[in-house]
Amino acid sequence: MSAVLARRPGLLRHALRVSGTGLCFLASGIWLTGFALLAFPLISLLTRDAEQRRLRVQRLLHHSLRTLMHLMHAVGLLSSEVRGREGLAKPGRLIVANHPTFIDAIYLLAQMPEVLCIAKGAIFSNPFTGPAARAAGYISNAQDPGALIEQAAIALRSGHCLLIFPEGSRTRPGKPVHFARGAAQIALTAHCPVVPVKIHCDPPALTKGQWFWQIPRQVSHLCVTVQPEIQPDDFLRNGRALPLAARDLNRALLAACTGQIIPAEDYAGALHPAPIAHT
Amino acid sequence: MTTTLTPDQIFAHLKAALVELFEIDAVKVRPAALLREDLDLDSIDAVDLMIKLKVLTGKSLSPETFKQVKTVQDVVSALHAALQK
Repeated sequence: MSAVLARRPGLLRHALRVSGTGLCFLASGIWLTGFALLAFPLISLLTRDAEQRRLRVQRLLHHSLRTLMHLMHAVGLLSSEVRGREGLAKPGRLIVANHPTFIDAIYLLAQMPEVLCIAKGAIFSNPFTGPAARAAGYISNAQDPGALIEQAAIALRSGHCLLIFPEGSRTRPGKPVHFARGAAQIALTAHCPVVPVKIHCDPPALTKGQWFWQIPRQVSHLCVTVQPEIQPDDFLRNGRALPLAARDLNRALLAACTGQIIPAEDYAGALHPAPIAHT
Repeated sequence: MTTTLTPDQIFAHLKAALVELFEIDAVKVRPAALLREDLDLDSIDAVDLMIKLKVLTGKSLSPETFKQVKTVQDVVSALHAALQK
C-alpha cells in the first residue's frame, strides 16, 4: 500500500481530501445535533422575544458556517473568492442565487450574519437541518404559493434579508438551469431590491447526486459574484401586468445568476423586452 | 346561459386568456400542450388564469382540480364538466 502511495503521491493527497471532506460532513452532523439538543433550547430559554430569538439563531448559524468554511479550506476541498461582497450587506434585500453545489448555500450563509432562507420541505424534515431551519425562522416552500409569497414579502418589508435559490434544488449537471418564478413574484410583491448572485464551482464538487467521496481530484474553486441590484419596480413600468413582469424579471435574474439567456423564440414576452438592469 | 358553451368555445376562451394574460404564442396553445412544460405556467399563473376563466365562462376550477390537470384539453374537459352541473 505504501509503495503504491509512494509511486502516486497524488493519490495520498486525494485520499486526505476525501477524508477531510467526510470530516466536514461529520463535524456538521455533530454540530447540528449539538444545536438541536443544546444551543437552540438554551437560546429559546434565554430569549423571550421570538424575533430576537430567530436573529440569535441566525447569527449562531452564521458563525458556525463560517467555521465550517474555514474547515473546508483547511482540508483542501476548495479555494474560494467573493466579488462585490458589499452587495450582501444591506437590509431588506432579496438575495437570489443559482445552486450548483452543496457548498454555495453554506458559503452565502457564512457571508451574512442575519438572513432568512426559503428552504425546501426536505430541509425541514431532515433530523439534522430541520431544528436549525425552524429555530432560525426559515420559510418552507412546501406550502400554498400565495401564502409563501405573502410571508416572504412581509419579512422583506420589515427589513430582513431573504435568500432564495429559484432552482428549488441543486443544478442537475449538464442541464439548462430553470428558475421558478416564485422569487420574481416575491420581489414584485415586496417591491424590494434584488441582489443576484452568480455562483461558479470549477471543477464541480458536491453537485446533485455526487457524494463526498466522489469529489474531483483537482481542488475546486468556488467563485461567488455578487451582481448589481435589480429594482423590480422597473419591470412594472407602463402598467405591465404582474404575470408578465414576473416573466421579464425572472429572465433578468436567470441571466444575472447564470449568464443563461432564454432564446427569444422560446419566450412569448420578447415583443416587450425587459428593461435593462442597473449595471 | 353559460351552460350552452361547447368544448370548442371553451377552448377558444382558454386560448384567448392564455394569450392575453401570459403573452403565450397562440400557435402553441393546442389541446395536447402541457400547461407547465410547454406553456410555462406555474401555480401563481393558475390563480390568475382561473379568475379570467370565471369572467369568460362563468365557471372556474378549484385549485385542487387544477393541480390534477396536465394539458389544455384537460382544462377544457374539466371546465365543460363543471358547466354541465
